[in-house]
Amino acid sequence: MNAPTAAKIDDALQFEGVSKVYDTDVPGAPRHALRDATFRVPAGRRVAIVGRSGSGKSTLLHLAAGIDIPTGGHVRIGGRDLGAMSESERTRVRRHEVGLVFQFFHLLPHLSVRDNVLLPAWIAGNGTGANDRAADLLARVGLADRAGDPVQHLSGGEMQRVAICRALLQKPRLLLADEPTGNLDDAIGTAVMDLLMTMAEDENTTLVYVTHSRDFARLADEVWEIHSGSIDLDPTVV
Amino acid sequence: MTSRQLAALCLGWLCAGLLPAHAADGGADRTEDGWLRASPQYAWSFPRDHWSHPGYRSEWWYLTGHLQAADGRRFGYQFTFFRVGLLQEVPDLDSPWGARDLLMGHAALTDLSSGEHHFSEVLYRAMPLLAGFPEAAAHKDAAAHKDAAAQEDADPQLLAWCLAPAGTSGRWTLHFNGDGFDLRMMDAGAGFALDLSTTADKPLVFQGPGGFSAKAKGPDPGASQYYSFTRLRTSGHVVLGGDTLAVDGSSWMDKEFGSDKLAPRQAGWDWFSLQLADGRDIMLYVLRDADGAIDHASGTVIDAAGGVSYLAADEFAIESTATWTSPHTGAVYPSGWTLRVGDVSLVVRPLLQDQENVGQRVGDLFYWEGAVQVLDDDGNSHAGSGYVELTGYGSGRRPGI
Amino acid sequence: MLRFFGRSLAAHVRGGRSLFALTVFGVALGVAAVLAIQIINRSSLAAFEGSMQAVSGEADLTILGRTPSLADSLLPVVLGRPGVAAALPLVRLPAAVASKAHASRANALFLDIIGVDFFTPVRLPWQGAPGDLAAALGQRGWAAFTPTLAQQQGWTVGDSVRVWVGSREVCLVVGALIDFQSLSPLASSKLVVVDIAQAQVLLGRPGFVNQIDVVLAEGADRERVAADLITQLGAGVRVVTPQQRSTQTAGLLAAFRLNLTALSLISLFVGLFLVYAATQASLVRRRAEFGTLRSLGASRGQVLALILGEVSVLGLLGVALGLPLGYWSARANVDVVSIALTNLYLLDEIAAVRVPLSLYAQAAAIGIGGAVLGALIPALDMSRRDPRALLSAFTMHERIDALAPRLAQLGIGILGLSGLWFVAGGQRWQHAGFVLAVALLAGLPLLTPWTIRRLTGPLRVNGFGLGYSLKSLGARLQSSAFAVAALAVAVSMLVGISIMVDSFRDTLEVWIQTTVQADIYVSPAAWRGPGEEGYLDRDLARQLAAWPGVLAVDRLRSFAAYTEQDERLMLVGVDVGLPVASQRFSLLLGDPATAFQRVHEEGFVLVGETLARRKNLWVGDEVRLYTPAGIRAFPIAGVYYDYDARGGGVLMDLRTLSAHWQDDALNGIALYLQPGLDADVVVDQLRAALPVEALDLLSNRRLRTEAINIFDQTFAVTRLLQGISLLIAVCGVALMLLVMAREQVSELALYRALGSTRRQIFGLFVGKGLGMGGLGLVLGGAGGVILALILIFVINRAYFGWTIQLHWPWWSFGEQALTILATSVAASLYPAWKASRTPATELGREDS
Repeated sequence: MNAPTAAKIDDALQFEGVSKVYDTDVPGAPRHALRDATFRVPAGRRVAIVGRSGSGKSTLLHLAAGIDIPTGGHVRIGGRDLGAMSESERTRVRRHEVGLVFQFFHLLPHLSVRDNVLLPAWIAGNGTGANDRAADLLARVGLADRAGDPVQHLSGGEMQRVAICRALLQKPRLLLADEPTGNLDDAIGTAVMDLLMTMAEDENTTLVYVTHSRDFARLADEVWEIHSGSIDLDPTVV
Repeated sequence: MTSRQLAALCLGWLCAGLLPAHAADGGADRTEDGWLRASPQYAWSFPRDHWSHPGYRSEWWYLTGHLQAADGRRFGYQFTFFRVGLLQEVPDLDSPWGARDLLMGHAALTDLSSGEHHFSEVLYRAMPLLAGFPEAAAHKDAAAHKDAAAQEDADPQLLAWCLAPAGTSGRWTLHFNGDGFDLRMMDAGAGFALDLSTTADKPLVFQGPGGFSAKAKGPDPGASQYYSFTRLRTSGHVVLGGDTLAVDGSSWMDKEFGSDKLAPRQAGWDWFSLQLADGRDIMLYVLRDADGAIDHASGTVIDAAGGVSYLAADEFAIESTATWTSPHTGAVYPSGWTLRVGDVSLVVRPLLQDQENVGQRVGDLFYWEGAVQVLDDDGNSHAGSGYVELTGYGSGRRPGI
Repeated sequence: MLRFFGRSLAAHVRGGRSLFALTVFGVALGVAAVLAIQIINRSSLAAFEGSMQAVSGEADLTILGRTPSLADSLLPVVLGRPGVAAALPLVRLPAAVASKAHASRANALFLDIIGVDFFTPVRLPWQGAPGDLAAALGQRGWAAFTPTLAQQQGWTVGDSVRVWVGSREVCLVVGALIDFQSLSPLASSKLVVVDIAQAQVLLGRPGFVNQIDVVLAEGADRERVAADLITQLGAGVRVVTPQQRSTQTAGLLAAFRLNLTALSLISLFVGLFLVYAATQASLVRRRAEFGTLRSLGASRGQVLALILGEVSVLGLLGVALGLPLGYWSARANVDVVSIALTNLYLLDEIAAVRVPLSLYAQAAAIGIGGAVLGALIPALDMSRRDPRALLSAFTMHERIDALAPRLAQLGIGILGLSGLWFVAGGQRWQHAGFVLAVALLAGLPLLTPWTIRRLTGPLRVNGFGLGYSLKSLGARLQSSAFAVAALAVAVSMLVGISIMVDSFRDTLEVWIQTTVQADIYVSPAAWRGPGEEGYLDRDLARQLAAWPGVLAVDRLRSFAAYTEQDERLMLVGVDVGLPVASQRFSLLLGDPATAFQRVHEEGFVLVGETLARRKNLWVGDEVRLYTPAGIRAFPIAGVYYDYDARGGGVLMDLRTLSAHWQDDALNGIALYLQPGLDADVVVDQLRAALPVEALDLLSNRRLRTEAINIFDQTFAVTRLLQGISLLIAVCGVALMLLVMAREQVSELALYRALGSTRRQIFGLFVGKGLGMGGLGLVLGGAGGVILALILIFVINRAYFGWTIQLHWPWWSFGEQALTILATSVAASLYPAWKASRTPATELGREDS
């Protein structure tokens, strides 16, 4: 499709020749998790990435979130190069501009539903101001009446809905989801996927998600495929 | 460290002090450390000289004898008080324990019938509670302890005394009774006691001219003042194993005092006191060197009437004919001799082989002190009886001269 | 499986080096604390036995006086009795070296001079260098010193050493150097042996001995000989076996040793907590591994063996580290204990540290056994679970959370039952106080999880700060409860003992204020307290009375007396007729107006509170004591407060004492000055003018300071143990935080992913540390107050009979609280740093 050329300010996410190499236990045989990935995701666009496990999907997301840094190339969020930032600047980007949804939800068992959603605000130091926003998000995912419950009492689908609320709390420019339905059965997965797409649209946020399901991939504006660390921006298989 | 160990240590020093370390010091009347020395010119005065002689380093009263009970049981006995001079004067300490002398007492009873030899010993410092050498009545020292003085005043004939060994009540005593000596000792642990009174059948004899007994050759030999009562008629009681037996018999008493030590080359001595059936008494001693060779010898013969003749070393000969190895100490002692004194030949045999005294109060003190019989030169017919003392055998130490 | 054991152990050591090290260190500290205390305990008793061994040797019986005068004239009687193989008279006299270097009491050099009969017949091999024995007797002051002491002081044979004996200065001559210690290793290097004649001269009491040791003949019956000796020697003497003497001292020391042992057990308790918690934590961390093993077919037994095997290795390493540590700290602290012993009980100082192999074995067994025991329950739990449960998360956390209320009920039950038992009659038992204390220290940890939950549960969290830290502590009871419980136990000890010691100190200060009324106190420098020989000349009393500015002179005589039941107590005679006397002794019971008059005029006595409680002797009763003339009864006119660790005393008028005991010696003199005179100035004048330097001249102010100093020295060892416990507890905090940092990798990664900075994570962990410190402080503070009450009103009263006025040392509470919080924060720094390094990429690794 559209071959990315230069960085544009309105690109939510841009990879330019990004590669990631991990050292392995075997000396001299590094593992290439990502090879020379170049793409851009314009603001508001929803992109699905498909691939087998171990193909480099999670690495790509980690790099996109600034959790990990590439061994080569540039990752830009909103046009700013993450590689040129300090560790704390990257943390600040994560805090304010990126939302993350995980396969295993990663909710904290000792916090209530509401507090789990509020956690990013607490970390960012604006706990009080976020209360209304959290209540609003929970209402929109249909969990308003469960706000005070411990998260252990929720079902898997409910947990992922809470996680989506947590990811959106800080109104991120970029929402990244790593196999958001991977731990759910098909029916619930579909519901969660629908919700994710709706919320991303409502919040006007850019969404990049990784999935192994062709069905869920088709919900996106674009579908890319990744295998053995190489990204195919124009897959024929979908 | 226990106090007992400490005491043992101290007694070790004591014995070390008695070792043959120095020969006599060139003719002075005092030793280097101030003790009075024996002298041929000593002015004897009896009975005063039966009492102790402070100022001399060592002194002893030595009684040995043969006893017979009414039922025929025969005994040999030994009773000795040693005075070990620590200091020449009582130290100026405000304590009754301040002492000038040690008293060591040895007693032995040999049951010649059963062949058992019993030995008892004591060691005390001379202090009013434990032991003493009273001053002769005529020479009382005004500075003597009040208690001791009172005690001794009540008993003017007392020559020396001490408590019986621990565990036994009573006191060991030696008295001068005017004609002879009375002795008492008891030891409940060793199981015997002696209570004997003696009377001189022969007058006092000086061993060596003027009572000066040289212990070596040369112009200024180590020496002691030495006299004896060679025949003391003896009677009294012997307690042994619970039996009290009336006994009588004959004793020999030696009294010696002096300050000299054995010459370094001298290792010990053999000493004989023999009462012959013909009325003669013979005293012989031989100082041996480390190889057992005779370093110095001397003797005295007292005839039946009390006449004295002194023997030079070449006027007698002693030949050992047998040995006995002590099972207690491993020491090898001569055990049986032939003697030649002038024209007389005698055979001397122990009445019992094991008459060794092993002291336990002071480490390594042991010697043989035993009753012997004297036979004529064919070794058959009875010719007399006596006592023999053998010191310096084995690795033992013995009282100084 | 063995191969797996080796590899997995190595992998875990590598994987959690600091965690592993800290656990090993925790075991090591616990082992070290127990070992050190046991060594010190043994050594303190051995010090006494060693000295007794040195002076009494292998005596089978010892004859002692019931009155201060035992005459050597008894010796012939003793020697004459059947069964006696030797009788050894002995004179003991304390002396102080008179030199500038040893002038102050703090660095005084005390000698134990022993007078023995150098010529007592003995049967022992000897190995000595020839020397001049006569000098031992003939040379005034001849004494045998140990080479150790001589070398320390730079003395050689022939040197003169000036010493103070009583109020007299005498000159000892170094006559010989004898290595007593090579013969009896526990003998003090400060043992000086002189002939008995010299000893009597030094003491100025010809004919006097302290004791006569009796060696029995082979086969003699000890009981019969003892009975015979008692018949022969009369009521004035006691005939005791060395065991009886030992037992007497052991009894005297029992309370002191019990205290030390209790403290060391608490250290161990806290140490075991640490082991338990560490094991538990490491097991939780590895549950997936065990689940995998199980699902691959490993049996429960194999998994259990694997876990226990690993813990044994951990215990072994802890022991290997703890043993030298314990020995080293015992050595380092022997002096402190030694001071306490000499201060409290006037016993010989500890001259040598004795460590029987069995002590090491015991400590090792405690370390390894403790580790295994600590791990047993979690290990059993772990091995019993089915593989699926092991592979899934959160199960363990839920367990303790669910258990918390029941644990708390159990804790309250233990506390309540022990309280009920005590009230219902347990209090009559002497050791009841320890039951209460143990119940408290057992109940406290049980209450901990519930308390943490109750305290953190209602917290409204509205941010990622301290509140969040606390909340997560409550959420992680499994880890936090152990650390907090250990800390709480340590803190309650700290607080409890602090309150007790401070209350005691305060009470003592008030007591000293009222009893130390005279302006100047004079005692022989070498005198170490009542019951020791150390005399002042009567002339000195007269001389002091005539000193310008002196209004009145109070004299004191004190020695050990014996009751009809043959119990030793301190007899004190003072001038009760002096108007100040009634102020010197504040009465617990009895009308001061008549009591002192009766004591002064009618031969009544006052008894100390400790004695009164111990013997149940009160006003109207009488004390029956041995006097040289036989048993005499003394009616009691009053009970006074005292703080005597040795069992209390009887106080009578000096005239009464002199009349009954025919004793006119003095141990102390107190001077009252004309108003306006500065005591310190007069002390200086007296020092300059009096010929004797052998005196301790202390002004009122100095004496008070001295008394308090002695008190502080005495309790120094207690403080030390508190420190150890606290150290262990703080290790626990660090350990638990490290465990959390590892266990919660995924959670920490999440925080990082959600945008928290490393600094925030660091702060979160420091907050947890602070939270644990705070929770430990709250729980421990409450426990400590109760412990203090138990110590003051139950234990001390039962063991010592002291009345201590409760005093709250708020200031030191504050200090301690800050210290604990600060240490908790310090302990959390490293784990916090570790946690803050957690990369966000660790996300999901733990749970997937």
